[in-house]
Amino acid sequence: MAVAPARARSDYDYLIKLLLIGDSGVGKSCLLLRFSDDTFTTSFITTIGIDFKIRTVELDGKRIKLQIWDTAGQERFRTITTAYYRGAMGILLVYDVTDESSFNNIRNWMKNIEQHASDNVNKILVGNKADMDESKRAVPTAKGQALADEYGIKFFETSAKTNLNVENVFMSIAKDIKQRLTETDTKAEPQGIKITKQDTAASSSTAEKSACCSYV
Amino acid sequence: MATSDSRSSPSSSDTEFADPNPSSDPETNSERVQSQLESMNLSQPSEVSDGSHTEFSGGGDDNDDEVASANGNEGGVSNGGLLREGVAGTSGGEVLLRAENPVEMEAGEEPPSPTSSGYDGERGSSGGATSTYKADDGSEDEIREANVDGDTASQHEAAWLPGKRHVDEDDASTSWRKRKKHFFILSNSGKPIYSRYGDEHKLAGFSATLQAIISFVENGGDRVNLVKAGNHQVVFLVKGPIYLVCISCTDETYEYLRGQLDLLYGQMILILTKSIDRCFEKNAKFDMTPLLGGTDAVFSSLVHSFSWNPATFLHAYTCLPLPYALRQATGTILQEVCASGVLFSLLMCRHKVVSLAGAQKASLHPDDLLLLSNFVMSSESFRTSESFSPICLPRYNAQAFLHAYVHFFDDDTYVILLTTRSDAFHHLKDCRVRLEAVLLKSNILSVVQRSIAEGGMRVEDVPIDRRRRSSTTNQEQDSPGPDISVGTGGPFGLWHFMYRSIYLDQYISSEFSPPVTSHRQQKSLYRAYQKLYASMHVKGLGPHKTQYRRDENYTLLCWVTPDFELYAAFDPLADKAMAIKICNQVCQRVKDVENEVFLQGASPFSW
Repeated sequence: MAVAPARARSDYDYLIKLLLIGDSGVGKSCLLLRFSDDTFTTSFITTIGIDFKIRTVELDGKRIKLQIWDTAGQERFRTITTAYYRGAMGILLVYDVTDESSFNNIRNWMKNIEQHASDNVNKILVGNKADMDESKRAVPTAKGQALADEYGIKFFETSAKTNLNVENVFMSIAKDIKQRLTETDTKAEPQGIKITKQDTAASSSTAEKSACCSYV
Repeated sequence: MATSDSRSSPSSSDTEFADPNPSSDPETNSERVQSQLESMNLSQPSEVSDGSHTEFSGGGDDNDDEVASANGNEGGVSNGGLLREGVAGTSGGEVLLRAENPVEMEAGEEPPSPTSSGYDGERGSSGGATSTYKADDGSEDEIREANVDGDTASQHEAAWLPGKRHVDEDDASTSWRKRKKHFFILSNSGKPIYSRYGDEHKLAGFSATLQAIISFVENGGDRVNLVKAGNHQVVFLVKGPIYLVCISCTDETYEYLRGQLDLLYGQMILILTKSIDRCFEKNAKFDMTPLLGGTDAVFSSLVHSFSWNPATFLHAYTCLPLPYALRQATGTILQEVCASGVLFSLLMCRHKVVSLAGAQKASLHPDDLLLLSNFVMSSESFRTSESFSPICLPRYNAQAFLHAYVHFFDDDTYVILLTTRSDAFHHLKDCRVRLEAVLLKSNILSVVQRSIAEGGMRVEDVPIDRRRRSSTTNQEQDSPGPDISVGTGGPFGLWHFMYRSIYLDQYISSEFSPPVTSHRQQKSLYRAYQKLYASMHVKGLGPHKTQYRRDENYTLLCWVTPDFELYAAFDPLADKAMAIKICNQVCQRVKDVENEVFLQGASPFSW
C-alpha cells in the first residue's frame, strides 16, 4: 500500500492513527486529554464507546497528524472498540501501576490485538499513574519493563496528572510509525537506494517478530 | 475476552434466596419477608394490592374533586373553545384539602433561589454552564428526621452530585432505612443490579428478599404491583428476568412511581438492549453489574430528573424557544443529513430540542428522547471529544443497537446523529461538519445561547384582558380586588402553567418566578401536577374535561381536550372565575407563539 506522497495534503505530511486500549479506569482518557488539550481532571470520566481526537505535531521536520481513538474499557463496548483495531497503525496498551489486575490484563489486551489488528501494528506499553505514592504502587517498574521486553516493545511509565512522559509516549510511537512508513516509502520506489539506520532503542526477541525490527 | 472490574459474588448464605422455588414452607418464607419489611420502619400492617388502588397515600386525604364540563365546543375547534364556569352553585362544593405532604414540610421552607429563575437554577445557570451537573439543594438525600439545624446544614451541602453516593450504607443502616425514596433493580434470581443508595453487593440479602416477595406471589398465579405500608408505597415492576422496585414515602402517585420504574428500565435497555434477557436465559445466575460499569451517573441523573423534568410524567418533549425561520433552517439541514442514510438527527440544547429529523417513516418516541438526552448530558466523556457509541432506543427497537455520533458545539448545544451502521463514524463526522457550517453561517448557536439565557414563556407574559378586568371591577369580589397579585406571579395569581400539545407530543412549561422559586417548591408543584395528571388519565373512568382543586398551597386547574392539556397553578386565594378566564388567555397566548415554542412539521409519531 503506497503512502500518499509528501505534502499531498495542505495541513500535514503524514497521517498516523493511534488507538488507546486498556482496562477501564487506568487513565486512557486522561492521557489523551493531557496530550491533546494539556489539561487534567480529577473527576472520573467514563468513556462511552469511542472518543476521537486529533493533534498535529512536528517530527524531524515533518508535520504528523495524529488521529487518536480512545476506547471504552468496559466489557459491553468490546464489539465496537475492536472494530477500530484494524485501522490503527499504533496501539498504546495502558495499565495502572496501582492496579495489578489491569497489568495482568495486558496479556488479554495483547491477545485482542493479535486477533483484530494489522500484523505490523506498532505497540507500546504504558504504565500510568506513576505519580502515585510508592505505598500504593502495585506493579514495580521492573515488572513493566520485563513484560515490554517479553513482547519486544517499548515501555514508559507516565502520569497524566503531573504530565510525566505523556508527550514522550505519543512522540515515541509516532516516530517509530513514521520510520516504518518511511521505509515502506523507500521500498516502494522502483530505483530507490535502501538506506536504513539501526534503531538503537529497539530490542529484539526470538519469541516474536517485533514490529520495531529494522529491515536489512 | 478480558473482563475488567470483576467483583466478588454474593456470599453463599444468600444464594438460597436466589432459588426460584423458595422454601416449600410458605409460612416460614412469609415470616422472613415480614421481618424484612418491619425493618423498614413500616408502622402499619402491609396491604397487598393487585394494583387497582389508585388513591393517594398519606391516609385521610380528601380526594373529592369538583368536575365541571366544558360548555359545548367539544368538537374539532383547535382550542376546544372557551372554558366556562359550570352551573351556578357548584362553587359551594369546593373542598379544602388537607396538607398533602406533612413529611416534606418537616424541613421547612427554603430561601428563594439566588437565580432569577429557579427553573434555570435547577438545570445549572446558563452563565456558569461549564458544569454538566445540576444545582440542587441536596434535599433528596436528606433523611426524614432532619431538624432545623440539619436542614440548614443541608442547604450548604454540595449541589446535587452525579453518580453513586452513600455506598457505605446498607439495609442495616439507620440512614439507609430513612431515605425517602429507594430504587432497586435486581434479577429474577435475586442478584442486585442497581440501587440508588448503598453498595449493591451489600444489599444482596435485601435483593433476595424482594425477589422472594415477587416469586411468592407469582407462584400463586398472580403478580404483585403495589404494597402499601403506612406512608410507604412499594411498587414492583417485572420485565422478564429484570425486577424493578421503588420504595417511597414521597406521596407521589402509584402511576408516576411505576412510570419512573419504566424509565429506569428503559435507561438500562438504552445502554444494553433487551438482548440482555438472553444472558439470564442461558445462565439464571448471570451477574450483569459489570455490564453497567461507568453508568452510575446516568441512573442518578435520571432519578434526579423525576423531581424537575415534567417530561418524565407527560411523556412529551419540549423545545427551546427559537424564531421559526431559524428552526426551519436547522430542520432542513437535519433532514438532508437523514436523507444521507442517518436514521435520526437531533440538535439539542441541554434537555431541550432545537430541531430534530427522522428518516422516512422513522419516528422517535418522547421517552426515548428523554433517555437519550439524559444519557448524553450525564456522561462527561461526550463533552471532551467527538464520540461514537452503541445506543439502543427502547421504543424504536429494544433488541438492537444503533450507533450514536455525539459532538458538543458549545457547553450546552450538541448534535446526535443515529445510524444503524457501525462503520459510519467518518460519514457522520462529515455530516456534522456540514451542519456546523450552516449553524455558524446563520448564527444559530448564539441565538440558542441567548434563548437559553432568556428562558421560555413566563406567567408575566400572559396579557391582562382590559375589557374583562374592567367588567370585574364592577362586581363585588370576595378577594380585595383584581390587582391583588401584582408583583407576585402573573395576572390574578397565576404562578405557573404547563401546556401539552397532544398532536405534537410536545409541551411548554412556564419559567418559574416568585413565589415559586425554591427547588423544594418547584418539586412540590410538579408532584401536585402529577396527581392532576394521574387523576385525569385514570383508565375506565371516561375522559375528564376539567378539574379544579384548592388547598393551602395552590389553586390548581387542569383542562384536558382532544387537542391539548393545560395545567395551571394559582395563588391559593385566587378567584375561580378569574382563574378560568386566565387559563383561556394562556391558551390564546400559546397559540400566538406556537411557531416559536413548538417544532412544527416534525413527522407525527407513528407508534
